[in-house]
Amino acid sequence: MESEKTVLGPTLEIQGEIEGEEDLVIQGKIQGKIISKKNLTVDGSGKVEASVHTATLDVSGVVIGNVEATDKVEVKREGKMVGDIKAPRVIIADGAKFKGNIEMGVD
Amino acid sequence: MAEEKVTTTIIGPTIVIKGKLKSDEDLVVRGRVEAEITSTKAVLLENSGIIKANAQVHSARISGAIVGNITAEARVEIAPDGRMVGDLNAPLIVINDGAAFRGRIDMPNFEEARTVEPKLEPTPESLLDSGPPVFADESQDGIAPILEDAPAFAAAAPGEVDSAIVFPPIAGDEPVRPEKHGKRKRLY
Repeated sequence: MESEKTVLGPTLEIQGEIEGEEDLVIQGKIQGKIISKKNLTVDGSGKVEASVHTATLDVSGVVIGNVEATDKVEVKREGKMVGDIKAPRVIIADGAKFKGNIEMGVD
Repeated sequence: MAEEKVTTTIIGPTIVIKGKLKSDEDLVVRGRVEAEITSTKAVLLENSGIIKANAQVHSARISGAIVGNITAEARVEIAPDGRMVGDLNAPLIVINDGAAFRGRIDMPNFEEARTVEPKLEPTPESLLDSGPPVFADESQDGIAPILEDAPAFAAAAPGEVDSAIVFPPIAGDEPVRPEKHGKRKRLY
């Protein structure tokens, strides 16, 4: 077994809840709720319609839903996101599409 | 095994999925899936994996634990370390020695399956009895026994085996050893 990482392939469709303590890469479609204690990556082919709780989130695909991250959220150049972000660090790359509120918890 | 071409999804050991899951690729489950699975490919439940739901799959191999019914188009195999509680519906089902299973089994092709001729293969017992074919006269002149000997081999009743000659398991199935060289000529 290589370093712990779960890749949910492009043909995978999940409706419901995913919980995990390892890196998660989403290439398929997820609807519902994602709770991760590590890094979450939504690849180009990935589509997430869920509320997300995670440490870090990288968006190269599509995310629709609210995101709460304990570390950072990054919307990459090819990424698209609709929803509210709550995270200490938020990066939105040039070319990324985003609609929603951002709360960085500035003290 | 997961960079560009992912044909297999691995659900890692710390992952918990609840709800519904649909897949068109092989699925390896090392975590916990409490989601109804619909897959057009194989599902491999590894030893650390747990499935608590019904599954509709092409084929499945169970090394972990599953509570739920499986309907498979092709085949379901419960490995020696697999545990299952639930009903099975598949044309081909294998339950290995050591596997734990409780439930009902239904093979949809039950009637057809009966008409299939069993393959004529040496049974483990016959192999144990006879061991590999031994050609007693090989050592003498260095040539393989000729085929004409075969019927005589087969004709003898299994009970009265001459210890020097051991029978191949099935008549007509003896390895035909190619004759590499002709009969040895005497040089002197």
